Amino acid sequence: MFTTSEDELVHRAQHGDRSAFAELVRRHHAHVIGVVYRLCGDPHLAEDAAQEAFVRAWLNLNSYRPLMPWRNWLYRIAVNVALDTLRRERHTLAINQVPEARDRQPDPQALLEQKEREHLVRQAILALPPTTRAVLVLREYGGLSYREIAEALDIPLGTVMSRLSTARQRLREHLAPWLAPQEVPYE
Amino acid sequence: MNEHVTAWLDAYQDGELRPAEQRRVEAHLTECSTCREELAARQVLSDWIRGLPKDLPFTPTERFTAQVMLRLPPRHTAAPQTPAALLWGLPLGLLLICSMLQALWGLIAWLRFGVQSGLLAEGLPNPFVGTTQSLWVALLTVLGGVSPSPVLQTATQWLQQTDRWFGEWLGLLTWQAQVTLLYWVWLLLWGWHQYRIHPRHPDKTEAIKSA
Ligand SMILES: [Zn+2]
Repeated sequence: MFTTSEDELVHRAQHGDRSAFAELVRRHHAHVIGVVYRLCGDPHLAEDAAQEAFVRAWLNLNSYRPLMPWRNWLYRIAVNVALDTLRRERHTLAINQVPEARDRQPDPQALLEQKEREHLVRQAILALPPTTRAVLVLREYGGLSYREIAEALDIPLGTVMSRLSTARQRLREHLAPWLAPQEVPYE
Repeated sequence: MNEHVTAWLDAYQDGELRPAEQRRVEAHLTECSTCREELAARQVLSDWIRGLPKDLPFTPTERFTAQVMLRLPPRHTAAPQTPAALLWGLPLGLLLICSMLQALWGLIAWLRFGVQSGLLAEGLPNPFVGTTQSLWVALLTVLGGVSPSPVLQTATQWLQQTDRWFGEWLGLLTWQAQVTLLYWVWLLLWGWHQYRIHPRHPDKTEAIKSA
């Protein structure tokens, strides 16, 4: 079946074509919600922030220039909306309930249960400072390159690398008891 | 043995190294078990992060799209400079027309003076000799011809009467005041027009909070 190219959809939407924009929403909403959810940690807030991101994208569509992929431009808006939401809802989002790994009696067998592990990872990600978290989320869930992340967040490449490194380091500290390194033979 | 490549491992894992750097890291990894372990731990972490299920009660695509489309305010497709251009262009045009009229007025006054003082011949049409009517009425009268039909004559008379009354009223205002008045009328009309197109702008904050 014939599918319209993204550039053409964006171009049409820029000229006020709402059905073209609807198609863009259909194509990108899952990724946008995914990224925003990993940033906010709350599914309802995430859906609403994702909607808000699309509304802002629509309103600012004329300022988009095809120098970067539209998806990255959209991510940039989505991240900003998510960070705004976080600032506003800081007190309602329980993002600091990270289990203190070292204070617990680790019971690796039980803890490595799928659900438990997911919960730990999720909480550890949410415990990161929002701007650091944004870099990690765009890399791991958005699949953006370092340069694309720099563009999306409007920060230097070096900052992307240092934040990503910090994020991973902190996650490893939080999850240390369950991330037992093993000797890996090099192939 | 070379120095450890720990600082490069993130970029290596993300495929962000230049080919030469990548080869260097790979060469180091073959001979250093510490860095291999480090890389393995990073990969486990990455798998854990990416492995999080999308366990969201997501709204289905079509419903989500419909919800977004409902929230979209109407967009002024043409670039937003158009209203600004209109906002400044129109009064500027008015000012230009006004000054042209002023110049013409001066010309008419000069012509009248010429006719009245007998310096100019009688070749000029009658209306120019009249006293208080404004330029456009004079022009209209000229267009009617030297001996217009009775209907046109009545109309012209009515027009001249109205013009005199209007002229007296407008005479109270300077031309600058006239332009200002016209501009304010224009602004009011413009505002009313905008209000009709966009009854109210959606408040983003409110929209998020209310959900
Ligand atoms: Zn090493």
